Amino acid sequence: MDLYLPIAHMDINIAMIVGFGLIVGFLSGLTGVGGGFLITPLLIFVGVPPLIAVGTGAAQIVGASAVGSYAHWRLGNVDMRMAIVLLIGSWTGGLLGVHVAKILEQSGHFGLVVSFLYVGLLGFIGISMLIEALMAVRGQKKSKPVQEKKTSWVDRLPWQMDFPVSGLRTTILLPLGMGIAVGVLTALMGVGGGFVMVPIMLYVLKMPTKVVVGTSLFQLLFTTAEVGILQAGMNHAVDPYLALALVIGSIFGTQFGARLGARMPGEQLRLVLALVVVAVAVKMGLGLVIPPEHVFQVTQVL
Amino acid sequence: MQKKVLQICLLACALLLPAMVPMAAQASVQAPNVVLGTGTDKVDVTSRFRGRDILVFGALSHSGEVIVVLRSPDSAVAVTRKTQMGPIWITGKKVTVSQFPGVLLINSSASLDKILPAAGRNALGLDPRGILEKAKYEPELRDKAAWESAVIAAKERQGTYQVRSESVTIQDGRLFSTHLHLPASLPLGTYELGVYLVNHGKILAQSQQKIDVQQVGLEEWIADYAEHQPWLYGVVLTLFLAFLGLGLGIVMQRKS
Repeated sequence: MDLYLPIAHMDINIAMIVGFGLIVGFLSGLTGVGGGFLITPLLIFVGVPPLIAVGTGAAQIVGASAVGSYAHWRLGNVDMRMAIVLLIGSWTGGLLGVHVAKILEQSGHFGLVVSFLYVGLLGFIGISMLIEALMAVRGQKKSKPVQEKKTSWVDRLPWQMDFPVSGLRTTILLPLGMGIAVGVLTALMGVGGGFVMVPIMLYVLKMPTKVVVGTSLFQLLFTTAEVGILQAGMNHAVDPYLALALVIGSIFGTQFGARLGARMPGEQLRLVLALVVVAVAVKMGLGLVIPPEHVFQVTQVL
Repeated sequence: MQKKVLQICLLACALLLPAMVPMAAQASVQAPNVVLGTGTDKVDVTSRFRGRDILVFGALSHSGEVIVVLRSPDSAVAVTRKTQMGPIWITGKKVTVSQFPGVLLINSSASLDKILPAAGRNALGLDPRGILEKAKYEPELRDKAAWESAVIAAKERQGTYQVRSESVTIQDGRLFSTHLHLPASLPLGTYELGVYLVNHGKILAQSQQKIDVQQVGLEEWIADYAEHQPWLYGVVLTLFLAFLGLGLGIVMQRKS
């Protein structure tokens, strides 16, 4: 079913977009890893202009993460104080990133920058997931270094604050900086940034796993909401039909994925996701080196 | 269905013809004339719009060749050129080309260069190359010709520029008809439709009509809203997505 997209100004098969949402949601439900970093490349591959792919990618995460955030908030898994510190950072980063996106788009380089960011980021995530999954499948449990409550460099940073829900006292500089980075990533790549936040919260801040999941989901809901509004307001880059189709697809996909995932071995699933991520990175990378069909690109100015 | 419309139109023209015959008989005194009709004077662009054919028909007082031109309002394109840096193709210079029609569909009863001399074609704006030469380039270029060719080639690929010879059929030297193929993606506004009756390289008569191409329904409302109230649009859409996700998610979880 072809639809004319009012913001992207192009025809697209909307059933295919719902399908993208379903597949990415399914993978996300199976593995518990968010799928924002797959949506934007898929949109770019089918010809959506990069800025609209990024803006719409961020906006659809709002819909895709709303129910999870709500559930974790109800269960008390959100460290509200930590979330606010993170949000101060990520809203600043988001504002910064959307301005950068606007400047890059005006000079005609946004698409190229997005491709580079994705090749680098997806390559990194994909390969580290691949290594981890392969080791897990082979049964070599990662020998966890014994984490003693020793003073690390984090504890020596200034601006220490109590975070009672997480049961720790730590500097707010690290969450602030991490928030800024996540906000910039959301604005420039249309991702939620969970893959950056979760490992740092777990291994550096040493927050409890349950609280990490709840808090990261909660904060990325509000970060993507801010970025979605900014992308629509400043860059006219959020297409409503695309966003709706993706949200509907991913909600259903996530449910199926989660149900199936509960009955399947996690390691193999992660291996599949890692392979998908690496494949998308390779495809993006090839796009940079394969000679373009047309050296000149002509786009309608609106 | 379209054939039927064509038949009715041709019938209407045929009825008009007797009125024009005396006119044609006294051709030396009576000025040559073209009567123009279209299947529609309004094109609605909805989300299902996949391009559209417009039937153009009419009657001629004199024999000759016919050129039918549909031209959209001026629009602008951004052109970027990819250059190779090492193994990687990067986006190089970006040029904005403006002040030239976004859509140009030219149908004629014979090859244009046989009907009209170059000067005549250029004066009527029938030559894509001539049109692109007059467009505005920002920033100014030294190797303009390559960029002009790129824009023309892209427009031809999209179907926004079409030059179709021998696509106008003339019956009995008095009735003509043709179909213009509007592409799926096109600028909005009031398009100008022109018909020229040409004989021996001279324009004997011409006739003009306007065709409105407008976005309608929900699409118009959304595009308008997003364009003029982008912040409000962003807030409303984001809230809507959040509640949609929440609602759907809760319903799905209840069911399981």
